[in-house]
Amino acid sequence: MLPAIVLITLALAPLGLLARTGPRPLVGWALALLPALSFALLLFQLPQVTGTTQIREVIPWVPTMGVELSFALDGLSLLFALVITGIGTLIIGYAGHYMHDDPGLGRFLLYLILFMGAMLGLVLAGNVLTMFIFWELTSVTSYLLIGYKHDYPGARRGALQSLVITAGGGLALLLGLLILGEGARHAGVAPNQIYNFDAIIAAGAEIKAGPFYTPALLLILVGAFTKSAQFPFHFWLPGAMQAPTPASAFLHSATMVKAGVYLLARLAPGLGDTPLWHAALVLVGGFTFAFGALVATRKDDIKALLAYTTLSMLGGLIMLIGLGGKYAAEAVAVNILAHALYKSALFMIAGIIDHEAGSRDLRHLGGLRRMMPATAFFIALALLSQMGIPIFFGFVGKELLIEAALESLLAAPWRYAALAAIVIAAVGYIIAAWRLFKHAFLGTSSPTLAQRHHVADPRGMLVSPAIPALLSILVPLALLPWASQLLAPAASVVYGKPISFDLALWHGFNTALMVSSGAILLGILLARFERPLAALPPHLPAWADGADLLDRLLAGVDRIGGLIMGTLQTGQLRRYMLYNTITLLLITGVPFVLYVLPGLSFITPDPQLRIYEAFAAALIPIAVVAAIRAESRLSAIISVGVVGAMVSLFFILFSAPDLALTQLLIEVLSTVFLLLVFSILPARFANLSSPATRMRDAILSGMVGLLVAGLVLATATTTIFEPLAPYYLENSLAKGKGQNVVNVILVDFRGFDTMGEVTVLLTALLGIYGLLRMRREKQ
Amino acid sequence: MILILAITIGCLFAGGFYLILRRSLVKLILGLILLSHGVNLLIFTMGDGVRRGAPPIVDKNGVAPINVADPVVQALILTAIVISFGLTAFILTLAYRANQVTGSDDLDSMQGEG
Amino acid sequence: MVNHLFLPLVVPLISAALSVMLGRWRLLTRTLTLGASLFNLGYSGWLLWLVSSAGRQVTQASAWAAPFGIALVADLLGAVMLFLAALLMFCTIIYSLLSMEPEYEQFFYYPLLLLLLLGVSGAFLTGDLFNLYVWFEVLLMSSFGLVTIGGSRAQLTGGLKYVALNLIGSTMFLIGSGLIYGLAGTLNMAHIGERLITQSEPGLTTVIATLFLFAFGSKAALAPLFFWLPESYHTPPPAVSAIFSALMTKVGVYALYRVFGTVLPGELVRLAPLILVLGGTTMVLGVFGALNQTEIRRVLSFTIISEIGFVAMGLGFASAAGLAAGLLFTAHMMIVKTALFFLAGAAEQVCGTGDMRRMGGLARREPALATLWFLAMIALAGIPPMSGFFGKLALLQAGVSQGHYLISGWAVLVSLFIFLAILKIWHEVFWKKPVEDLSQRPRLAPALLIPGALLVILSLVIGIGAGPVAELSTQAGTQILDLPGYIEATCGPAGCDAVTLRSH
Repeated sequence: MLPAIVLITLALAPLGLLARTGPRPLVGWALALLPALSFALLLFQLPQVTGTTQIREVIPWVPTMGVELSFALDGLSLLFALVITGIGTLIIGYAGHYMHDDPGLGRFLLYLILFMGAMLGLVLAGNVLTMFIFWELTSVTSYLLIGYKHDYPGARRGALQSLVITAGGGLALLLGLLILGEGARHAGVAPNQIYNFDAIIAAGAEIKAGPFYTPALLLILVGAFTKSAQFPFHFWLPGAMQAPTPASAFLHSATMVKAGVYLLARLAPGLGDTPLWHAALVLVGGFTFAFGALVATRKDDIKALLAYTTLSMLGGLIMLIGLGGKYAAEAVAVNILAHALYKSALFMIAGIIDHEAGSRDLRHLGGLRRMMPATAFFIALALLSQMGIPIFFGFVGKELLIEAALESLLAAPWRYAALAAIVIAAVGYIIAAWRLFKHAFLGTSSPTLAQRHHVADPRGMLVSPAIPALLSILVPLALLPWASQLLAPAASVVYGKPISFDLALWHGFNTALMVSSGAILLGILLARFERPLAALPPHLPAWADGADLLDRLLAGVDRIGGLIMGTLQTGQLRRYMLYNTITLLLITGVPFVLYVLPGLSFITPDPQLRIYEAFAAALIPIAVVAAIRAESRLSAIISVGVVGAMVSLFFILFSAPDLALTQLLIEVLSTVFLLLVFSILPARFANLSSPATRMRDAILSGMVGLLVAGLVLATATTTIFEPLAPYYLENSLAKGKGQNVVNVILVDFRGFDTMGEVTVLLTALLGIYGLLRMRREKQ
Repeated sequence: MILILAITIGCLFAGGFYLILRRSLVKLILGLILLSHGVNLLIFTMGDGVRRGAPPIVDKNGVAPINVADPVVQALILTAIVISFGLTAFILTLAYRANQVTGSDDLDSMQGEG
Repeated sequence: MVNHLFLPLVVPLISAALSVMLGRWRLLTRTLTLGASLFNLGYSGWLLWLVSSAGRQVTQASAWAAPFGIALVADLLGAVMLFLAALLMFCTIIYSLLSMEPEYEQFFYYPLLLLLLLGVSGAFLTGDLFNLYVWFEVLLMSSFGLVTIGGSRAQLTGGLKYVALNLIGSTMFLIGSGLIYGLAGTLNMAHIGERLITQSEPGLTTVIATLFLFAFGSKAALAPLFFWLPESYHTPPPAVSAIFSALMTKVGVYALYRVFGTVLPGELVRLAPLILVLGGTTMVLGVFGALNQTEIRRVLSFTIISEIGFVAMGLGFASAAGLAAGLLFTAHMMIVKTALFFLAGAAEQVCGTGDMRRMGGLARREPALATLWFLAMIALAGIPPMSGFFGKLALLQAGVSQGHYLISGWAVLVSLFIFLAILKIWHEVFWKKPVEDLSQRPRLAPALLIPGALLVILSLVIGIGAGPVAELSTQAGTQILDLPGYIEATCGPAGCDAVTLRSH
């Protein structure tokens, strides 16, 4: 069933394109049936998923690489899968209304459903590599959704930044997971199990003791932190708000950004509880928690404000995972659900405001409560939950958060730091929520807003946010036992041992309640001064904006790369020849000097040496020097011709008559061609390079000459193996029916070479013909 | 003799590389020709010794002369000579055409644009 | 021993010769070309199946026993490359039929393509070092003809550098072969391997091996020998760029894998650190080049270089896993890069230019092209479930399991920037609003997308069916390093020296 849910969702994504035709909202709701069905199917599994027990289904995929379509359902994945399909249902229905006049709705829904399938795969995967595959797919679909309005440069930039950060993090994650697998292998896990979550977690203690733990964890953390928009990678999330609001509500608040949290929560029982784990998660998570909340209080764009509270809450969740312990596990589960409910409602309502009022800038809104009373009611519910006001779901989550910090087994400074982050975040949420509500819904309408007609509650569109908003109050009031049944197994997975708990609104007058009440009071107090507070320093200097920094970093890499390649790639052939020469001297020359030169014997006595042989040999260097020093073209060509003639002479002297003949013939032909072709050039060479360059080239080419000479000497004086030559001499007449052994070799023994050789000649002719004819045609 | 041949081959390579490092189109091609001579001689010395006056031609009974030269390298060189002739002819034509469009012997002026 | 391995060489050769002679009947030439490439495709598909089920296949040319004659040896590495070459050539011919200006046909465009196919097929099949040189020259010579076909200034000047630099590589190859004959007394690769594996100390063999590293590295476009590639690849018509990107550097890769993996495994171990350094440098220089280009096909050309660095890294791991991963990655990049060149050609046709600054708006105007490009792009970036992911994964797994963390991390970083370089094309050409008015431009013929679509689908199929594909590449990796098996297949169970002893 699990593979079916994931794969069918992915396979049916093209159905989204149906939304091109027909009544848009209706098609939207019809498509919403797809996730709704999955939601129902998953919900039925709830009774079987208790504690950390799993439903597991495996389809083999790439056994040699340890990749399999392995899906497992336990408490944590069920919680996430329900959030994905549940909110996915609402979002798709909502999108049909929200984008009813957008011709690209079909494409949008295609991406959205693809994303949903990928996200389901991510949370249901029982194998780290399978999870990674879906992880990457969510990055890509997110990119497409953010860049949906790609005519706008802002959308393209937001899409690119999100992709660079998440895909870059993804690559780190991949490396981390592979190293983790290596750690598991060394911890004695069976080779075909090293990428299984269960096996890794079971071998956690051994992995943590081994050398692979630290690099693997650091790389995995980069992956998780980038995906979940943790400081300093947070900036892509506000940039992702360029996506149409349904996508923001779904990907960038409720689901995809929680993938990092999900991964860490899942790995916590195996890899957690080490100093590195605590330090990294509590520091980064805690800082992002507080930082995001504070930045949110200063934002005027509703979606940006929500984006910062989102990344803040993700930080809170990561901090919780870092704190560890039973309460933290409970708090993670509760807050994932509570946040998904209120944040998706908030985003969808932000979309409604944008859609109806034509702006989502708090400075241009106001007085909406009279025009959109129902919207005001539902956003109020969601905001109250976010603020953590008692009897709302957010309150339950916050109580547990505080409890987790208080009860953590970490040293006191960590606990207090965590507590401080919680209080700062809680206060920030209250201020941000108040700002949002006050400037959008209270007061009087702005002049531009007043001129807009038909600003009213959009009934169809309001259905989707109304449900999670209502749940934010209904769950704590009426459904807590049911929610506990869902959340306890999830918490058990994070904790690593079965936990059973009954959530309650009222825990008595304890420290947590005091802290939480204090935060609420402080928040309400400060909320009155939200305007002066927003104007207070410190304002982040412009250069410290992460998005700009990333732009500059990428541009910097471009520039450095351009500089290097610009220096290397000059378009001048002699430069490239120079690289080739130096490379040859380095890769061949160095081993030659090291391994061959010491054993080289220069004495090769040859009693038969004739004086005319030496004379012929001496002519070659002389002709070469003449060719080099020649000032006129003609004398250079003649000198090269002399070299050719001397080579032929060598062939005659040393028993190669066929070679001599061919060489001479070719030499004559080549010289004629040379003279013909270069007749159009000036007769004398211009002096094109400086003396220093000539000296450098002379030294380098001299070294090449020495190298080759040395190689010839070394090889010719080394006889380890008997050459094949005797065979050909013996069999030439008998088997090859010829007395000239060279000819027999050419046409018979190695006839294949000759076939290739003739082909080369033929091909050269075709090429030459093309070169010459094409010009004539053009003229 | 090997030493002399080795030095000769070394000279051909040194001269060839020096010429291909020049800016002149003509010198580039002359350099390539020198290199091909160098290679042919190099292969020649790689045979089963360098022999005088004993070409690899067997008599009517299929018996090779004493101290005969290695026929394999000769076959290889024949192939190589022909191939390098084809290449030389092509690059000469190409040089001719390139020279026509750029109007210069200077390789540095042989850029795609301009 | 079988007697059919010469078929994929003879069929293109005869077809090319006939095409040259019958050049004036265009339809005939085209049919011949298509037919020959189809034959090679079918044959090599069958051969791949045969090799994967029955092991290496050997044909002794003219029935002269190896090591005296020239043996054609098809193992998995060769068969896979042969198949891919035939497939990509087939797609290129279809693409050419749809896009090439007819005037090129007078200049033997199709025969040159067939000769290129002949050259690469010969290189993938031969078991003889000098014969490998000959096939290299065949494919080089036909590529020279193709790169200059049309005779524009950029083609001539770029082509000159291409030819000159490649001749240096060939020269080194020839020197290496000569020295090998001088040292080992044989040219048969199995025989060379059998004899030189006894060299347990670094020495002359090592030095000669570096010559091969230079020669094949230069063909494969390893740093710092790759400069011929970005000077020339973007200048000819898109179909030629596509087939170049598919085959030219890959023959170099093949030769590196064959010579260092099979023939000189001892030297591979010795030179592995050097190969890793060269690979790492190639990766980063290639991507640096790609980030700074404004022409689509130049960006693509530079990413080829960068990816060659990855393939070299696979070789540098000096293990069956590394070679298997490198082969998988090579197969992936051949398919995907060719598809990208086809699609780039289509985009250029729509916009009338390949300069990204003047392009734009294709996502809305040509949604089918955009979809295909996007899929090919994420395949190149190694996003699952496209083929690139598994290539990258296999390489990283090999690296991590052998403790090569530094280069693996480096590769990961570089692959992010490769993605960025190609995303730039997506943003500029597809997502950006059109810069120039495209409404007057002719519509893109949907048929032109077919070859690219085929390859994109293939990439997806390789990704989804990665199980068997990875299995095959793992087998191939083991087989590349299996020198005794290679010797036995070529010369018989007693080895090549036994054959030479028997002959006396």
